[in-house]
Amino acid sequence: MDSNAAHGLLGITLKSGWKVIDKHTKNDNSTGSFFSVGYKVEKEGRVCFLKAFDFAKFFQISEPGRDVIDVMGDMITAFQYERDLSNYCKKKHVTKVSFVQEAGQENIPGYSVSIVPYLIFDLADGDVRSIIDFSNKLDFAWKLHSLHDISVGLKQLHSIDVGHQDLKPSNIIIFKKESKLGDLGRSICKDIDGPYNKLHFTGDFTYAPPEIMYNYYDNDWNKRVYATDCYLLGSMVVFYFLGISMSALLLKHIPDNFRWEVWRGAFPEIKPYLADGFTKAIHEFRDCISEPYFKKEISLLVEHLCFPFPEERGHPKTIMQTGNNFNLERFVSRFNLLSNKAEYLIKNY
Amino acid sequence: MANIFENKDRRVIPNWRSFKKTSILGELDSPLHKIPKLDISLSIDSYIRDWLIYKTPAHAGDLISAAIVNGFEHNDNVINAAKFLINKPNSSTQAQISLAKKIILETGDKNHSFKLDAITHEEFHDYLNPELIWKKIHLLKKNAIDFNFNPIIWVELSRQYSIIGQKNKALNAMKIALQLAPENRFVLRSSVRLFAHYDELELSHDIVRKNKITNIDPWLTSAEISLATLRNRTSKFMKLGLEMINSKKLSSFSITELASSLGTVELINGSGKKSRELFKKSMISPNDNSLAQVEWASKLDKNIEVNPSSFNIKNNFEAKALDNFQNEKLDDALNETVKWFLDMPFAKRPVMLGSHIGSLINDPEISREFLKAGLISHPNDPQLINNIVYSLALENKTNEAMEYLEKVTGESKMEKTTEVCLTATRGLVYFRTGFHDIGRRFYLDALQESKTIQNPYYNWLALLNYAREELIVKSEFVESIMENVSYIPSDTVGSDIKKLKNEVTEMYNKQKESKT
Repeated sequence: MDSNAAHGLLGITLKSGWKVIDKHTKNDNSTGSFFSVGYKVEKEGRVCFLKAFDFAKFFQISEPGRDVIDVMGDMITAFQYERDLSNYCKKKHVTKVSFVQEAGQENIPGYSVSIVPYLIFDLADGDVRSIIDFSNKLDFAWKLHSLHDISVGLKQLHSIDVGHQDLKPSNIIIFKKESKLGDLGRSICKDIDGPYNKLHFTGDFTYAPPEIMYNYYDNDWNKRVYATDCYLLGSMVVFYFLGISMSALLLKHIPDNFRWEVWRGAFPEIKPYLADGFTKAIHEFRDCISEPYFKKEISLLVEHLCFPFPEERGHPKTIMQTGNNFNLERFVSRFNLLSNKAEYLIKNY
Repeated sequence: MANIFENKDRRVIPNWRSFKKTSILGELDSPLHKIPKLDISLSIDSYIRDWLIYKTPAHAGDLISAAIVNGFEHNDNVINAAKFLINKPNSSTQAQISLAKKIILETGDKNHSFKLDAITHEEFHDYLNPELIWKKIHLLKKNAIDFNFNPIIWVELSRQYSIIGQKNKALNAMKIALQLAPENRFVLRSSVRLFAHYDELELSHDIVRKNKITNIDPWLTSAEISLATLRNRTSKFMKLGLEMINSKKLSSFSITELASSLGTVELINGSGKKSRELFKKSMISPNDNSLAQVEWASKLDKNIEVNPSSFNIKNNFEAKALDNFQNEKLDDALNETVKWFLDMPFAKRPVMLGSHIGSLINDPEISREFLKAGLISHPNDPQLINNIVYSLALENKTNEAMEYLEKVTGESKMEKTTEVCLTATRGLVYFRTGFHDIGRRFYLDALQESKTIQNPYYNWLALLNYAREELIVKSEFVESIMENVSYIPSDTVGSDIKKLKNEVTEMYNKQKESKT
């Protein structure tokens, strides 16, 4: 018996009235999640994206010998948390996040785990990886515009005490001219008791900031969570222009002895070496930006957003002031200005 | 006459290389496992899945990034994504291609080989271009301004300045690095070497003596003990150093210099047994510095046996050069000395050894090449200039010799032995330019100066050089001088004196034969 009911929704009309018309294939929405299957669904002429939670996958990666009930409990908690957090953000007037439009569950007979919880989102053009074009110089304005949207989204989340924590290319959803943050599943909120609230980092380690990789973190929620989002935003800038993550760029310039899985010293001991690797990474980033006007500006943004020591991350002027070092206001303004400038340049090209 | 290379007192002062080289050599690894490894299960499956579906440069870039961060560079899908990026240069970014190439390269041979390993003395000249150093300095200065938070850049800048003999700039850059990272091993060890290099021993010693990290970092404890010994003081870290060695909490490699430093102290104090035990521990997993120290110690204590070639150590040039030199394998010694110099371009010892070997194999060109290379980091150094002038004058290139001689001013600081050499060398130049009386006066002054400092070696060297010149001009003083030459004991002197005495005696005998 096939255990993956989440894969068996195609062609079914759900209890909620949505008809599953297509399964996640090329050029559809990406979910960015390993524990879900994506579908295209339709109801009353409206086409949306359905994210079906794959219980079977959850079992596969769970600790061996763990109670089935516990595993299912975790899954249900994860599903409920993403739904509730999405609703919370929606109520708080956040606009740059891809919200859950509807949530439900379907019983698909014939599978060992027949329950498939699902979330329905607006259908997007895809995640940023399917849209971005590294060869097109005119894409410059689009990239900056998209980064502005993302920074606005993050700022909106921070203003309601939510940290996204899992910002990565697959979680940037593109809707025509607008970019939104997707997948709040690994986000954390001060006001909502979530399954990951006790973790120091809840996102994907591939994009995690260096301090997390070196097992160093601040116990202060604000500092730890916002410093992480700051780094993740900077890492997106690097991805948009270089097509690789900031962490990969940084590791490229750090000798193997200092890689996070090799180094066993304390974080303060490695700081000078990280600073050196970071210098070289920023250097390479700058060299890769062909447009002279933006070279210095964007490099500075990355430098401030991705600084390898969390206490020195953020805009220098913001750090000098009292309050949250990681306030994104100045970055939002900067992205807006650069995006407008880029559009102006293209129009006069 | 020439100052010779003397393999005199050696201490385990940290070697100073570029940051990249030092880190590859493992000298910056953490000696203690303080922080537990991050307990996470890593996977790049979702990245592979997306790459296999979409096959775009963005998905490939995302996958290779994930692979680099999570250590999955050897995965077949990752290698395919890397190849995809390399094969699509128009739709991939430079950074993607560069990272992809790193993945492809690292899945092949990951052994780090240094360029220096293959260099021989024939190529020496190609590497002596101060322009290249100035270019590096220009770039480093720019980076130091742009990234003023980075202490490593300031250390590298200091090193480049020291290579071209810009003492004050080198010291200033290092002081900035120390401000930025006062407790970092690379910065501290580099600064210790720099300040010691410029004879600022007190400052060099204070940097490690007063630093709390010296209490826990064997690489710094070792430097402190060596500096205390250089200053004829007893280190307060001796006991702690021994405890570190015996604690068994530290790797053999991380205590190699410390054991070598302590071994040196015991050797100087005459505790042969303790010294040998410590040197033995330092050789369990040596680096080039501790090995060179044992090589040096083996000349003082014949019970210490070491064969530098039997160790597979990177940049082991000093020990090999000295070992080959002692065993009179001069060609091999010369090649190793070239590498030693290029590895430590600010150091004077490889310069002196290289020029000395050059003169022993009758190759004045290579000898001068070393000396001129040494002048880059030690501009107007009287010892180096003296040897250049001596070499040129012997070939009757007196105009060029005079030009170099003018670089030595009354303000030049020098050791007494160098003063003796310079006086004698002036005598040589005047002899070769035809001013025999002036030359004679300088030689007689040199003989007197060498007596004043009670150094028979330099007295004999001056006498033999003087005798040669009088023989060449067939002066009336030959007989009396040769009588003095005959008093030089043939069995108790170094090979250079022996060689020179034989040459002079042969010349004298030939002259006598031709007269009869």
